[in-house]
Amino acid sequence: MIDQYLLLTIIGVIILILSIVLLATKKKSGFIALLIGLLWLLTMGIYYVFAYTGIYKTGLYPVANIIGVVILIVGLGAVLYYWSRSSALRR
Amino acid sequence: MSKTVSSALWVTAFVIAAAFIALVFYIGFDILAKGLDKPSEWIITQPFIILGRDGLFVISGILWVVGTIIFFMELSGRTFKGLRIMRQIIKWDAVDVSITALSAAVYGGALAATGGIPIIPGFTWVRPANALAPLFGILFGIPGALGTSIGNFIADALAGYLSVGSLGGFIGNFIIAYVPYKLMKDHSFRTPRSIIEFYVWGVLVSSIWCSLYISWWLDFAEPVIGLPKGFIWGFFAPWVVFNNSFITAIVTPILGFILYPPIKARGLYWADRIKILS
Repeated sequence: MIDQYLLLTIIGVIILILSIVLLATKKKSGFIALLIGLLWLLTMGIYYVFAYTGIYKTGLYPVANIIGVVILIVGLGAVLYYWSRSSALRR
Repeated sequence: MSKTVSSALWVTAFVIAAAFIALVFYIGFDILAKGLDKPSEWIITQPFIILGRDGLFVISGILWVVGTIIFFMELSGRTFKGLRIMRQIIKWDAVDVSITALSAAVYGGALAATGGIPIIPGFTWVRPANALAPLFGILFGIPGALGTSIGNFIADALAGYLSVGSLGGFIGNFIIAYVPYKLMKDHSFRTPRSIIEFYVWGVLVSSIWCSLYISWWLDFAEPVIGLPKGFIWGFFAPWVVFNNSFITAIVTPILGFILYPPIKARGLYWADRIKILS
């Protein structure tokens, strides 16, 4: 049986390597590929940390919800910061 | 346009919107009345039963191939204009990369925040944040759609749903955002045409396509993932159609109406950033 998490990790590594190749050849799409690769591997990191610490088995909630809320707040905070900055730049 | 024609169009748009909202509420009440444990009796499951697993596998397979081609085509800088394939220039500068990252953070965080309300343990949960997916596509185009893909992937890990099935969810969520972005002609939520287009493409078509896309992938990868085929087509697929369309039909037009003007004014609206070459 295929280890599906190993497979997902390999896909993430391939995207990351591809992004480095694109950046090395000065392709702008390398930045977005790099972002996808990094966030993909971050996701796999979250999975492995949760799996090895037993969070998935012993009580995922409310840990996952709290992390979700933190990511949401950080994301919205970044949006508001970016928003105010873009307003300032336009003036 | 005369005032009478304009009024008639507005009435038509509101009737269509009200009909969609009434339909999703009816489907929701039907699910609650018959029970979550009796998906074969849900009204939304009946078309799936009529088509059967083999029929659904063929239809969904076609949609899967088309969706996958579109995903990679758009990322490689090509797009559809009518029936023609054209080159498009997405700058992928700091703004586009930021839009993708922030869409992923907001969508993924919002999904994970409600991740403790499972419907099919291991595969799906109640997802009010689904309202954001078509909105990000409509407002930000490909960078926003890609953000929803990544956000869904992150949320899968946080909510304990990560598997090879998440590959289907990655492109499936891209499709939810992509369909209204590409097929709506007016994204302003300020005209009858915009509202009608949203309910057709952003609610109906995108929800069904996303559901069939992910379901086909779960069926195809069944030896690795292990979800029974009867469960995929008789429970998961109809539930995903409902789960996507319910919140999208109610919340997204309100968010779109509020957010379209400031996004457009700041030059972040996709049509002001993407250049399509003939």
